[in-house]
Amino acid sequence: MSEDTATTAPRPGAGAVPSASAGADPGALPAGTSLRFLVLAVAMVVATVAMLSGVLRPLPYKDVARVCQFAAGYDPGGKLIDDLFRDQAQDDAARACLEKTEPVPGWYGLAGTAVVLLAAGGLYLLIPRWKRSRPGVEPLHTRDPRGEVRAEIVALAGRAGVRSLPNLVVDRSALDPGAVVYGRAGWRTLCLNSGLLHTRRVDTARFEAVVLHELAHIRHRDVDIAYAVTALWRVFLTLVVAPYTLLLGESLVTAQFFGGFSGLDEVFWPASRPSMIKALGVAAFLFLLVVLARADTLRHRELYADRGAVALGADPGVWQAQAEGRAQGRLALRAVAALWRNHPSWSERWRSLRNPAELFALTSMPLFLLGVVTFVTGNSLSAVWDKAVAAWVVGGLAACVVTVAVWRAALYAAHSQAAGPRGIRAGFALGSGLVCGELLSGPTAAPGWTPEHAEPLLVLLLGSVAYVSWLAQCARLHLWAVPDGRSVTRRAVLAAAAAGSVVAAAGMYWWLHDGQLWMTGNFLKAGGIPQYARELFPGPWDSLPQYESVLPWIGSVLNPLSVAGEDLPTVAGAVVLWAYPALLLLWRPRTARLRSTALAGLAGGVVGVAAVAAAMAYVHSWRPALEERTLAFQAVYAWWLTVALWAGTVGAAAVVAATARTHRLPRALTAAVIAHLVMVAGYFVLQAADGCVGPLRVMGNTCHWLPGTSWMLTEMLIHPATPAFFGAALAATVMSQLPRAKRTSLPADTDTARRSWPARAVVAVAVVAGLVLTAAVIGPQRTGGNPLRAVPVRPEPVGTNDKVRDMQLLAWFSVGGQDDMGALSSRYIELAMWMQNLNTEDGTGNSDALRPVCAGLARDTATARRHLRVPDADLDQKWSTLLDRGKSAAAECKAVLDGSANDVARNTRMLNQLVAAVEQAGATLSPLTERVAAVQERWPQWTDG
Amino acid sequence: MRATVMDVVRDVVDQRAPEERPLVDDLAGLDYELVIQRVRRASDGRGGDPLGFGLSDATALVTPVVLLAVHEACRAAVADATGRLLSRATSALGRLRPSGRRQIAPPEIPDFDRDQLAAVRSRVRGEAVRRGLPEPDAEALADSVVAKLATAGAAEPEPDGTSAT
Repeated sequence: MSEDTATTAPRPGAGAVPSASAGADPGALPAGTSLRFLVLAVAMVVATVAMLSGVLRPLPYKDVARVCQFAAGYDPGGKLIDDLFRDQAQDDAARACLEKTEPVPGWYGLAGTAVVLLAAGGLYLLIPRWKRSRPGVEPLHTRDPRGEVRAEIVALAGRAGVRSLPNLVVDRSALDPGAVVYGRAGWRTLCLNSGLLHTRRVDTARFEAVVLHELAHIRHRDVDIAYAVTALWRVFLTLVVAPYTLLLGESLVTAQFFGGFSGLDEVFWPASRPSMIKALGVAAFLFLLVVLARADTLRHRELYADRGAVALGADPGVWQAQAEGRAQGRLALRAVAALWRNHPSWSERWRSLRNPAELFALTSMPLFLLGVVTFVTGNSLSAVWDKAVAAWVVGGLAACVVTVAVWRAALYAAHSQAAGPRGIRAGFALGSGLVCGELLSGPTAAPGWTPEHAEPLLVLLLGSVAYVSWLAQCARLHLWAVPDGRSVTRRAVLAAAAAGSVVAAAGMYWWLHDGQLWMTGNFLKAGGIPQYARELFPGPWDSLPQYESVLPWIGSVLNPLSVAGEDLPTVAGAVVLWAYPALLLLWRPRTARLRSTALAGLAGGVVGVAAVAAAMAYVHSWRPALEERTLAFQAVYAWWLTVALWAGTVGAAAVVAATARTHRLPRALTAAVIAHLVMVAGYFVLQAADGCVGPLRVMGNTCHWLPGTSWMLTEMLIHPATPAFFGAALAATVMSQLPRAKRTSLPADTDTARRSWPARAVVAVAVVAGLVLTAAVIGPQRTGGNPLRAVPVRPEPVGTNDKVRDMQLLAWFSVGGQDDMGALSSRYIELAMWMQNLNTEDGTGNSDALRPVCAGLARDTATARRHLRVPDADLDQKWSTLLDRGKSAAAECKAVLDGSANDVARNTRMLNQLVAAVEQAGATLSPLTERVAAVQERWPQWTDG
Repeated sequence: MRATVMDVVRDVVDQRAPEERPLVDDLAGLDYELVIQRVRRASDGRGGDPLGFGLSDATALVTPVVLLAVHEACRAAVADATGRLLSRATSALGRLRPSGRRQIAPPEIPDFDRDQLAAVRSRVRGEAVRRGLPEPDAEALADSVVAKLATAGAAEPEPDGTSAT
């Protein structure tokens, strides 16, 4: 965090304090601009890796992994879900194909990035030297032989707390009465304009104001950070964005207007057009983002330097005179031009000194840009490295920026006794940015302009609203509880940032793993999860409606909830979601009305236990005989229990959010965890005593107390129930927008505090129990393996371009088809020759000659069967028939040759099968060879390569 | 030898704002194009360095007003004489020169006709008022500039050793 950027609240002399102030000092918090610079730096570095990896990867026809994809039926213009699961259908064959390939060297991109970073480091060192060597720039002593100016600057530096005096130079060619600081960490230069030295003689106040402003920049370490970002930005633009844009743009223009393609790019056209334009859009966005965000952050820094200068005694009249002496241009033009400028307008600077509200406002545009850059960077990082790393690094960083912004707004509101930020608009801005970032750079938005299913994007939008609202309400809760006059410790903001980072990382982790896949459609169904559930839990899924009706829900809802509930980031996010506000409610001294929250949670839990009992009663009403209570029955039962637990948790949060008067979201989540734990405890008891209450008998017929069995089932149930806290937060966010309930009475704080200990005890027990329970049931992290194995047969994709079909065939031919065709051709030629010689007496038609032919046929047919299928429906049918006939003919041949009896009928059958196989070979290999030859003419370089 | 732009600026500053004389002296020895470029950018409010205090043209300095006005007047006079297109092409070529070029000396003052001098006067007066000079001071400054320009074309500069090179 930019610790040094923090300044004290404006002094009264500046006329900058709000008329009525209370609570903590808003100037105690960092400005967050260093974090914003850090986001820009991370975005540029990740983009560098991604862009250079893209530029430096091998040409498509040399990229054997891509060739294997084509051979397996990859269609650049097809549906993504077909590609996701086509490989699964021939998983072993595809894996065998990839095992033969060398992985694309990823170090090219990393090496290129290292070069870029080295160049940026070099430029960072060189920029101040260049500035020092500009014509007209001389050491100060040449213009200040008696050292008067230097002495004055030393005095001002002492006042500003700048311990290490910067190098002092004068720019003779600059007549305006200003100054500038530049340099690098540990070597800063303060350059005074010639005009400023003149001003010192006639207007000392202005000289002091300018120098104090520049010294504030040094004290805030703006020089170190701003010039580092500037150096990185210039190198990034020159060595990465420009070549990348030129290469991609040239390919796009050549393909679009001249029909020219490099390598096999033709096969990707026109399917690759949207993704190429999107990639250029990402480059353009990054350009605009860095320019605008850097300018915005520098303007922010200027305002802080102004405030710092005034706080150190600079005369605010200097700013006032500048602001009043300016002629104002046209409003719209000024607003657009202002976005690009490194300096705010004088009127803005003067306004900010009088009323710094804008410095603390939670504005939408930076959050929108943050949202876009978060997903552009997150998607790139997950592609070049790892999804979990992307979630923790990028999500955590973005969360820190949002947290600081929210806390600043909340703190200023508390200081000026205004209503704090609700976070709804800011959440929409952040969510809109995330949606745009996903559409721009998400892997599942390809290959078209829009994803197959945009519905999951709504989760991003609503999730962001709930997230920012949660942060804002927690910040307000914390500040509300701080007694007047006490400053807010940075530790509190750090804790909020840590909590926010965990929740953001959990959300991003889920999105990168599952959310994006939902944009391709119901990937679980396509991946065969319902079928997998049938196999895993055998039972009467098709015969009984109680089973059949919930199977899709088990496959598409219960299963992913269970998986998510075992993931460490998701569980951590869920815990922090309720634990952070609960702890804030618990530990603050002014925990008024905590009792109502605790009571609401307990009541919600009791209702939830009733819902669990209702689920048990429902299952009891149709439960089959004891021997038929199979795994399938347990799965259905688990589904209804999960529904009950979710309903209880989400319902408790929604009701409390709708009825609470203050801190609705924190109270709602605290009530939700109390209700959740009561429900889990209630379920544990009911399950342990299953069989004792007639209408609630599910698994047992007789009354026993079985806590061990019940704990096992409870443990399993907690996994799908854990993500319910995210649902609770969403529901509570929506419900907390309802009008507040009217206050009926105003209890005195002292009375409330005296009576609050039972409520505190309930919340404390809930927090401890929740943490212990989570630690007890948390499972191992999700592995990288794909559990989707039972992929159902998908319909053949329609509308595949002829060019792509040809390429698929060519790829298949290249990665194994050629060898298989050659081997089988040889075998069938040998077989045909043996048949021709069958009636001759030279011995070549006897059984000894047939044996190696049949053995070879069996071997080569089996080898071909293990390889990828022919990516053409007609040819594949023929090919498959050939392999079937070859296999059965070879098997029959072997059986006859191994048999001792001379069975005429069997010999005849063998001969018939061999003849049929040879005929099929003719009918298959000839058209296949002709197709391949025709396709090779289209891409001769493929054959060469 | 004719007087140069910097000679006129120095004379006017001596006459109307002697306290700014060190500023003019500081410009001595610097590349004339660079000086004009920096003063013009400051006047336009463009090109502020990051972490600078911010450009401020609204200060009551006489030197930049006179320098820019005289420079523009000379350029316009030359353009009228040689054709605007040629003048613009020359300027454009000048901007393309590499940075390691030799220094450019201030141009000499050409002859001005009545209309051109009136235009210079109007410009100096307007700019001075914009920068906060009182109206009578602005009038007097404009008159000084015009007087110097009217006589500079024919007069030799005073050999005081401080002329810009």
